[in-house]
Amino acid sequence: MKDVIDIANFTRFWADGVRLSGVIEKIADGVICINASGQIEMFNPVAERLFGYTSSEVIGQNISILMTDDVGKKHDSYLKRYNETREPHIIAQGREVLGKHRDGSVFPIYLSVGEVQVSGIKGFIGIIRDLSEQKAADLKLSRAGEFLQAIIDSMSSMLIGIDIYGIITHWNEAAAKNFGMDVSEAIGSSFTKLLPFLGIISEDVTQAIEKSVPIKREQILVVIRGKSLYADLMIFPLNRNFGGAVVRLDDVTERVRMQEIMVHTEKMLSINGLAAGMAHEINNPLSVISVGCQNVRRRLSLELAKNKDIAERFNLNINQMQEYFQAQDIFTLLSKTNDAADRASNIIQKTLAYSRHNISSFIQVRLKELIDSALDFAKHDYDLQESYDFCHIKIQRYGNEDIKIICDRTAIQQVLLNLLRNSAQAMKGLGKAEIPQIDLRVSMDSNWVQIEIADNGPGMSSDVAKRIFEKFFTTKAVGSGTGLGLSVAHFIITQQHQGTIDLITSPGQGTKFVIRLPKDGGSHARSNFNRG
Amino acid sequence: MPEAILIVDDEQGVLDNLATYLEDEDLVVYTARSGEEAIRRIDAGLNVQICIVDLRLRGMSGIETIVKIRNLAPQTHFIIHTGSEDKSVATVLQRVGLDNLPVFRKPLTNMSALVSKLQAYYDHK
Repeated sequence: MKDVIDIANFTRFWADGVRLSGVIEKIADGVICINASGQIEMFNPVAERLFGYTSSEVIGQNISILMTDDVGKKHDSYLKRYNETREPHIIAQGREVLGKHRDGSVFPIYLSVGEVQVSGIKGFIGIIRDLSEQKAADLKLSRAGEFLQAIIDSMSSMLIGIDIYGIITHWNEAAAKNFGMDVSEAIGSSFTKLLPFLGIISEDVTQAIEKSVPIKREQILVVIRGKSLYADLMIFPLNRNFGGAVVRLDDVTERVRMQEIMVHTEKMLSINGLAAGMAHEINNPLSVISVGCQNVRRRLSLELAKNKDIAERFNLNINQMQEYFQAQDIFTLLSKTNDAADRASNIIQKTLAYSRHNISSFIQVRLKELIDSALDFAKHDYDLQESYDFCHIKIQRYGNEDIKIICDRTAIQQVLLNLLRNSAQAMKGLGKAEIPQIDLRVSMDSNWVQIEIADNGPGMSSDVAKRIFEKFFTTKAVGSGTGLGLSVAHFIITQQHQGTIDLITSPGQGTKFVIRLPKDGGSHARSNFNRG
Repeated sequence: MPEAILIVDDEQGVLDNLATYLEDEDLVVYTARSGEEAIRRIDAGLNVQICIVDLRLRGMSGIETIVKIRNLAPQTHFIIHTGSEDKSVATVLQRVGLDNLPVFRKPLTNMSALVSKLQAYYDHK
């Protein structure tokens, strides 16, 4: 056994025991020798200092007085077991244990034990190193690490520390939350492997580190856990002592959407102004067409007495002329031309009225009219990006729509249009075998009217349904929807009209929105309605 | 003296067609291509009972025209004939206190409605 020191050989080098004990006296570690039954035979000055006993106090005592009670109690049996089985547990291994000071306090030590034999008498020698200071330093270091973690956790940005090899060294709570991966999982992983979408910036990272300059990328589109979002990204290189870099990611999706909305609103406003001017310009020629038709019609008919006189001047028989016009459908053609002018002007009028939703006014309106116009808009609304065809959807209407309610007509139209549009978009994914269908069902009781809009589309999961009325929540790809539609609908129904809007859906079961509106328009309406 | 009407509109086609229709109703019709022209003629002694005025005119606006004619000839009735959208017109008229004036929207696809309005003024007299 190589760890058994042959003292006889030892003394050959160290001429006599005095010299050996001199060494033991001077050694920087505590040295304690015990005999086979555990009694202390030697106790050097460092051991004296560590445990607070003088050598004379402990010589002959059982070593267990230097141990914590639980270990001390068992020590005799450990010795006995070793003497019988020769199976080492601590011998020649060394480990961290606790020592007990004379005053009862406990302190960490590193203990290595060797077996000694002197002229057939066995004993053990223990070398003891005080770990208190090291432990305190370790604690301080780990506190510093925890403090650093606490600092980066307190920030709302996602912060990721990486070393020069691209291995993640730091990972804050925001990163954990957004990536769905806790710190223990992330640290030690390769940055680009873990976040493949950031592959596009791995060159930036290398550059930032090499040139020691921060690099910024704004509004990059990233996909995290299947969710696409816009992020601002900063790469801050660490100083050369550490190498590596800190990557900061901020989810700016909401800000980007807000900008989109502002751009959209601005565009709408300018279109509004343009459309108002255009309406005037178009209505003038329409006026010429329409009044022109009426003039022609009247001058061809028997209505005007002077027609007869003028016809006679040219030897024309006005009654025969009437027959001719009837046979040739002249009056029908004229009235159709007039109708077309009327329709063209109505389209302009309605479009303008619809886009001017900034003015809220409650008026009495027939439900049928509201639904008609919303359907009319839906049919004419073709968003190129979404390109669904509303005309292919089967519309079924149930219930008596001949109900008058007081509401902000444009706002309610907008809500209905939004819901119809959503349904149409959702049903785009239907197979060819299924005919897309929207059921509109109207009912009423004494104070309320209820409008149901149900489609046979794919429905929604409860997760989606729960968030559907949230501002900026959208299931559409970034850029193709603002996520404001349904939150605005919710606002219009619940706040402006003091009604309710509910959603009944589950995957594969279609989607049904149920709107309930007070017939009198709620209190907002009552104060508004009387004015005008 | 026959009942006379002045139509103010910057679109010749609109003037011609309205005039034709109303003349067929045996009304005396004058036309003006601008607010300035309308005022000039009334100032020069043209006597009309009713003015049909477009709101969006080149030069002086329809509203200004109405206010000025009203100063010259307070008994004049006014009818607004506009291609602009209802709501914005209503807002503007309300702001200048002219919201009690009848508004006819272009295109007048049913001229008899305008004729009965004119008739009502004459019967009232």
